[in-house]
Amino acid sequence: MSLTKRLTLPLALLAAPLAGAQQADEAPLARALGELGTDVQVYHDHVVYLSSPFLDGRLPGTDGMELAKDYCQYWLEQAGVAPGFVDEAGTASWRQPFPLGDTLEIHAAAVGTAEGSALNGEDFSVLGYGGAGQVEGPAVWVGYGIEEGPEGYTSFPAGTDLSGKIAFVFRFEPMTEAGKSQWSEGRWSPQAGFGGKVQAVANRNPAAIVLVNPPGADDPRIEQLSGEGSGRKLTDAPVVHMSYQAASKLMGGMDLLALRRHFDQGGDPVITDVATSVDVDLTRTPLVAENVGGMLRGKGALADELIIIGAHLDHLGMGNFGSRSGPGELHPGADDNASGSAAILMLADKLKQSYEAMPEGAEARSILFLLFSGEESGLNGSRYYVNNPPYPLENLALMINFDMIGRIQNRRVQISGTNTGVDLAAIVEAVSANSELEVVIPQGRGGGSDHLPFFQRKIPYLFGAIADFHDDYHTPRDVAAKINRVDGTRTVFLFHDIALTAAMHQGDLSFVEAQPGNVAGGSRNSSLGDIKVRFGVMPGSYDESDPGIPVGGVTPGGSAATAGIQEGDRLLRWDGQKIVDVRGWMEMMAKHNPGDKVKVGIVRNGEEITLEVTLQARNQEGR
Amino acid sequence: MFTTTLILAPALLALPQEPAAGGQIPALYEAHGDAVRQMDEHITFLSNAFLAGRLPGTPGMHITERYVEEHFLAAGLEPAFDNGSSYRQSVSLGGARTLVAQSLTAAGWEGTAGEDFGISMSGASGDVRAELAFAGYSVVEGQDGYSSFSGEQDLAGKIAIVYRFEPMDEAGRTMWGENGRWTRAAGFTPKLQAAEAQGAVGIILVNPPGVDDPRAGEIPTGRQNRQRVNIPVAAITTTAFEALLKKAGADVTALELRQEADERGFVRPLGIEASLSAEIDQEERFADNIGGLLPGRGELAKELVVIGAHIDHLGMGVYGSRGFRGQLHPGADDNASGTAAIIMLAERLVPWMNSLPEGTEARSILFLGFNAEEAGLDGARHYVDYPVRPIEDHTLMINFDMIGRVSNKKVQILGSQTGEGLKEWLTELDAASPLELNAHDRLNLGSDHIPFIGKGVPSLFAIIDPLHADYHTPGDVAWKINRVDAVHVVDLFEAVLQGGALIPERHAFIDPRASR
Repeated sequence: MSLTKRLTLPLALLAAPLAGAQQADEAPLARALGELGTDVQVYHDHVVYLSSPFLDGRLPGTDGMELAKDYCQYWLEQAGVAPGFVDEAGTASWRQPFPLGDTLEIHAAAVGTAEGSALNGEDFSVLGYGGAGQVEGPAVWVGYGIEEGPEGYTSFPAGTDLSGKIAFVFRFEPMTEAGKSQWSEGRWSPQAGFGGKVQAVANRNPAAIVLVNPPGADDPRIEQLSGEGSGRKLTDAPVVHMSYQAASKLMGGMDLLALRRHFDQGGDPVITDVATSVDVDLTRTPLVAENVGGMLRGKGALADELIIIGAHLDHLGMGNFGSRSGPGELHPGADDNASGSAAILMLADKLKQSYEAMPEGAEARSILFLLFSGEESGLNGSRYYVNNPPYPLENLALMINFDMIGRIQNRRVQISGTNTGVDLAAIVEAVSANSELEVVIPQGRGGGSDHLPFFQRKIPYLFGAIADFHDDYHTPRDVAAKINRVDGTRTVFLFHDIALTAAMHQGDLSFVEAQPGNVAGGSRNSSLGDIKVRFGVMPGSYDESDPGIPVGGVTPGGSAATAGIQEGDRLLRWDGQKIVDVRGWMEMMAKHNPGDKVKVGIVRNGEEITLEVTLQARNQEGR
Repeated sequence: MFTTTLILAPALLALPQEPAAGGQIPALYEAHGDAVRQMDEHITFLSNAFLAGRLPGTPGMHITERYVEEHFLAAGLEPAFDNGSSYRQSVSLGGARTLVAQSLTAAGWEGTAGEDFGISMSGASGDVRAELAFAGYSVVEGQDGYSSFSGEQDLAGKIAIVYRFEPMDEAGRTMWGENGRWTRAAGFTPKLQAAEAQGAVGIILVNPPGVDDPRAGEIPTGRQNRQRVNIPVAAITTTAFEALLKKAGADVTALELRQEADERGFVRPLGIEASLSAEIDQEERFADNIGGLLPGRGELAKELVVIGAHIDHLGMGVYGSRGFRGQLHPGADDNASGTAAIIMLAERLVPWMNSLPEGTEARSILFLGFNAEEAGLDGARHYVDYPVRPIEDHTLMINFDMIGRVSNKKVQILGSQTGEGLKEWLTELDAASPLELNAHDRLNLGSDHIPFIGKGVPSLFAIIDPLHADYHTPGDVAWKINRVDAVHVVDLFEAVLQGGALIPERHAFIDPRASR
């Protein structure tokens, strides 16, 4: 409304807000939010804001992630807490920067032969597996780029050397006439993954790699190209993903279906004399991600001790990695983890108020509120924090983490870690008696998230998450509309009480060595579920500087033992896909049937070895 | 074993039983449909305190501009400006002025900035060297025929010495005002403008010696930051003026000059050369209108139907607030509701236009997010002066400004009398809508449609009826928005837009002033 008319606005035009004159069923959302009260409104506001598509799926490096961090900093400031960090110049700062891989910017790219040129964006996309370069060489087709398939299948006869060549590789794997995998009952076996192929081909030293969709495959993705920049760097050579139509044209109209059949039957590489040029101009910039943090100073003698309350702010962006439904669509991450981030913002506000209201002489630990970045790609923010703690870890009494508290069903919320600190279980039990939520204490560690790097440093933790998992996890369907705001707010209240009690606790919070559970078979709740296979290892103690899952013990006669996995190995890769965390690994396991063969990448004595593991059934005799 | 110290009691203990699954909010989205959810998400985002009330020129407004722009892009609209290359049209917000440099010297006397002289921001930048001329109180027409400028001498080419206030008695009190109060003639602006009109190249303001006023001792620069004249204006203390006169060997004192001016108006050159220099930096600020174009079909495509809403609000209530200056004004109804509506309409109209059968004639539709409305319809006024097509080709303009607090289904439509047949058409559409439209002939509520009507474009303005007490206060918050009925407004105007695009004969403009 215009200022110029404001002064002439007759007061008679104004009515009281939401006056009783309205119909009873009018404005149902306003009515509901009004009745539910300010805290639910605030939770609603935070979750809607952070899950807006405008925030780009909160992928580190995007504009949306910058907005998300600025938003959290703003609300921490409003809560009245102080900046949690100190920058290099010694100035108070809300941010803790850390390196997180790199971002890829593709400036220009072209692939051409005498028959014509393929256009970037239309005919091919540039993949993040490779680098920049301007190369030329004869095209060599190396089938599906399979290092070692079933029954000794290989795309690379002994001595295959691709130096100076442009390697063309078919996507997927040997298929039947009908275009279905020869090696899997389902769509494709793990052999079909991009990562494994690129690595196998790159090992032969080509000047560039062109992945080509195979014509006739029974998969709608043969008409699609991967997202530009997807894939983590495996080689310096340029790597692109091309349509079969464009590839055929470049080869002068070559019949790619016939060529494919040749490889389906195990045929040798096909060396052509088609001179191919590949030109990719890209810049890889190191990405600096940031944890965001605010400090609430404690009171009295206990103020020297610290409690961290954290949640990861980042998510999967357009799903180029980590998605359960595939790349190219926005993943809003409402439950994972706008729901937890919102809780941090509200807890800062509420705990600040509670601290202000404390009587003279009260004692309470200091609280650091943290929004981590880089969790989805491997707990990178929390890991960086414990390796570069701004406050000594020996003063850190407790770490509270939230990762997915937005889809509570039947009032059930899970809190794990109660057995990691002496009085923790008693505190949680007593406090949760007052909550309308049903607190479920799960078996085992409860899932992989930012509490783990702290746990690995023998810091007690509490991890809050939904007790009942849902299928929208890591898909574009994890939207704000489905968030249970009421129970999310109840969770905030519950953890306010837990945190306050722990902060003032004069008793014993010291670390208790928890027995590592058998992760392979015991999923934290039956919703993750039907894991039908058993891997047969016991996780060992974590060394925070290395990624992956350490093998503390190997069940004799189990899948891992039979494949040659040993105690001390680190599990790093699952059919080419990096094992991000325990939960991610269980997700991968859930897809398998007994008898499936998996290429497991392990690190032993600093070297990465790939072993083939045949997965045994979960309920095999005696186990 | 220990006590739980609960300082905050959980407020939700007494909640009624909620429905299954995700609780009340998801259930309400399910029940009322996706459009209600969309409306909620837009207004919730845009009214968040993080956007600080969407004041033009602020970071919160930059986020808002980008939000609208990206949604237009995603909806499939083409950039409307710069020959289809930009979604943005720059609107000047005026400027912030800062004094960068200043100096004043006269006949060997040099002023010390801040101590005995200063620069008035009512003046302009300038560097002048000229003779000083005393212009008394610089009054054009005072009481009883008093005038400083009777024609004997003028100020052409001179730096005018201007006494503050107005003719006073021996005790230094006004001779023109009642109860010792200075009259309008004592104000800075008319004095400065008068001196400039008389040809002065610079002005120096002085407090007259002996004046009975608490401000007598200060440097009389005034507190205005708005430029009133195009010449540099300085101000010096009375003591400094007296020192200057002495140093220059003048044959008259400051008091004598005052006594004469108290009796009659006159201009007297003082025979003293002075140099006055002021440098004022003018930093212009901008905000953007956001415009997206949906091209039409066939011959009609060259004509435009416009649908707009202002995207700005009052920020921290520095102006425009109804009593809450300094507090954050979220502007959920005013006008996140309208902003959401134009985004949602873009998302609906693009596929509609694309699916029209081959050979259909349809006007193009221009979606406009206006900026700087609250300050005076600045964005809309700028647009009509710089439209993307000739203004005559704009056949209909629709404006949303507050559609988020519908009560009892009532919505006002203003402007239906500006287009032939509009009222009848609305009555038809009203029948199909759950809303109760009040299409009347008053144009008493100002918003972005006004400049369009001023240029002969038939315009419709939709606004809630009545307004609410949260208008222009911090209470205009997102949770109170009536999303369901806001969507009904969107639905209604979806039909209006489609009709406006397709109707073969455009509605003839009727000048609302003529129809009275």
